[in-house]
Amino acid sequence: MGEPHETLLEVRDLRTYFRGEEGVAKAVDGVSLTLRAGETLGLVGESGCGKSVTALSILGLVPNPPGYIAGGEIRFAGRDLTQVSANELRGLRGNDIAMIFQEPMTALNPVLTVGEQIAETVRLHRGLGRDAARARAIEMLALVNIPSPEERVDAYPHQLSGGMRQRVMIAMAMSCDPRLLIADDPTTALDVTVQAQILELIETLQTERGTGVLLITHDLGVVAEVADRVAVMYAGKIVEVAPVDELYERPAHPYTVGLFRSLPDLAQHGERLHAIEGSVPSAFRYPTGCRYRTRCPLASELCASSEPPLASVATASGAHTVACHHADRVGEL
Amino acid sequence: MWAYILRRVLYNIPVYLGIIFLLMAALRVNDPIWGYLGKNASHEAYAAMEKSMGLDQPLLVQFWDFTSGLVTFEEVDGVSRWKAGLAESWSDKGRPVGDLVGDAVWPSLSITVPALVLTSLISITIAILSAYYRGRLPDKVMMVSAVLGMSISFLVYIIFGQYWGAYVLNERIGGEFFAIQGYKSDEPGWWVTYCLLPVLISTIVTMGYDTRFYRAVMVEETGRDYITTARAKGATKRKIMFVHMLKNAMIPIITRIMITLPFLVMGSLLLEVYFGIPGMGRALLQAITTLDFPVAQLLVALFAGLFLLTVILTDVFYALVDPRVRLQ
Repeated sequence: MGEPHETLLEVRDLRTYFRGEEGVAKAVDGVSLTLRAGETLGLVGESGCGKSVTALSILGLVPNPPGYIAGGEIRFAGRDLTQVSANELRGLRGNDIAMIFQEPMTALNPVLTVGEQIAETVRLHRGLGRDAARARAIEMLALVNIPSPEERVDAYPHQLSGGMRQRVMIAMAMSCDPRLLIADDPTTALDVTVQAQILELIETLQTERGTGVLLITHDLGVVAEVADRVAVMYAGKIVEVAPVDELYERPAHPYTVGLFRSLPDLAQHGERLHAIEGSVPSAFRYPTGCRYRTRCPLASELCASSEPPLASVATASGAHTVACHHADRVGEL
Repeated sequence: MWAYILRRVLYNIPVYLGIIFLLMAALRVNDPIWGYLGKNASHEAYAAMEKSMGLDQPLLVQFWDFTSGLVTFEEVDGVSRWKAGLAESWSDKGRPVGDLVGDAVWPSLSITVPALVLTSLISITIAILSAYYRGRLPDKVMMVSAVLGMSISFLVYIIFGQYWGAYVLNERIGGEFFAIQGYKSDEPGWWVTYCLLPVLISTIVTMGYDTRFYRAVMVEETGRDYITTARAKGATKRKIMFVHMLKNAMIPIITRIMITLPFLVMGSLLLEVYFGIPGMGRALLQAITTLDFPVAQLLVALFAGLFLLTVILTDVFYALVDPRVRLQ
């Protein structure tokens, strides 16, 4: 377990590209982020912005071919994960870095019992025997609040509900006490009530064990609930990073503002839902300069000619950065 | 489980009876007796033959006699014998068809079963590796070889196999390692001498088709989410391929293997003819060419039965390998 505030993961200028028929798709194109031990970092963005590919890159799970890491560093526990051997990376996966996926319906192997699937992880990394691994699986199922774990350990995934399956995924991910948990939209496929339970479970386990969590989601509500800091991603780049309260109170990027506007507001009954004009640019052909300028109400000539770097915004926390030439005018929106 | 099997069997009995009825009707569309005796046969000879085979009876009576014979045994000279097998062969005079068919089963099986086991093991392994290296060099080499292997005719393999594998090899070593032709099951080492070469040829011929099929199955599995989950757990490549993927691919694999089962018993016609192996395939071919009606009728009825049996077995295996298959 790391010291609090110790940097656990540092991604620097990560570029993950995919070779396609039309050329090279730059799914992740210069992403930098840091995550401290015990912290929850929300990674937010529309579908296709590269947030899931960022997660897969960290674990070295980008399908190759066609995908490959074209540049950048992923520093975890003193090592650059883009440079370590496949075997070394495999030893980290599931043990130090674990991942939860968005579709609990398909992410579990349908022909193995949930017990076998949890036991597999601990047998692999802890070298436990069959019985000890089974005991550990039961213990983990109890930890994620699955009723009668001694019976459920022999259940197949199809015999469990979606929420239960996601609990099993969490049990699997947490079974080796990882230092970093990557949760890729863990609640999209679930009912709202179950969503809240799952988020609460992740949060409890995290505070108990001091795990760093990278929470990937498109749901700003989820982020508000559990994240400490938020990184907003657009078209393969991070456009804004801020502590969660600051981001909600004073978003500094026009895209972030657009995302908040698109949230349905129950108080404003009967109004049309706001949508950001236009659509996400293709990863094969990003616009020059700022990638958001084609949809941005503040776009100017400067935005077309030069790409805005991530720069600090003067705030109380001093931890708020944004990549926008016109961040000072965002308040006008 | 047993109730499930019993139910599957009971469902298939009417299906089987229907098939037998259609087959019997079809075999009688062209009068088998005229066919056998020739158009110059006398009416007396015709009538005698018709009577001895019971072909003068209405079709329904014949149907009843035949189907009840399939499930009854009769005492003959103090020995209990299968009734459907007691009819006499027309071309092999006086020989009960049951003996004729029974003698042909073992030679067929001693070729087809090893061939199936060998082909399946090799092609599933190649398919897994190929799917794993999808799009990369090992995959391409294996798939080009598979297509190449498929594109060459079965006959070419047989003739070249007999020449190089048996004739030339025997000349070189000055003995008989592989026989060019023939079948004797009473010598020591008979299986290697008479069966191994046909088994190898059959394996090479079918491997291309099987590998391509299994590869497609495996490739589909490699794209599934649970594979990503297994990789994210840090599972080894071997474990992912042979436990996670293979277990999920069992349904199509079983289907493919089970479909070939009835053909196993019926033997491989070409191999049996070219290698002179007295199996079922050759027996059926002989029965057809010599217009041996009772043998042909029994063989097609057996084949239909085997087919249904494998359908039932397939369902049972599904239930065994996939926990999602309900027994209700």
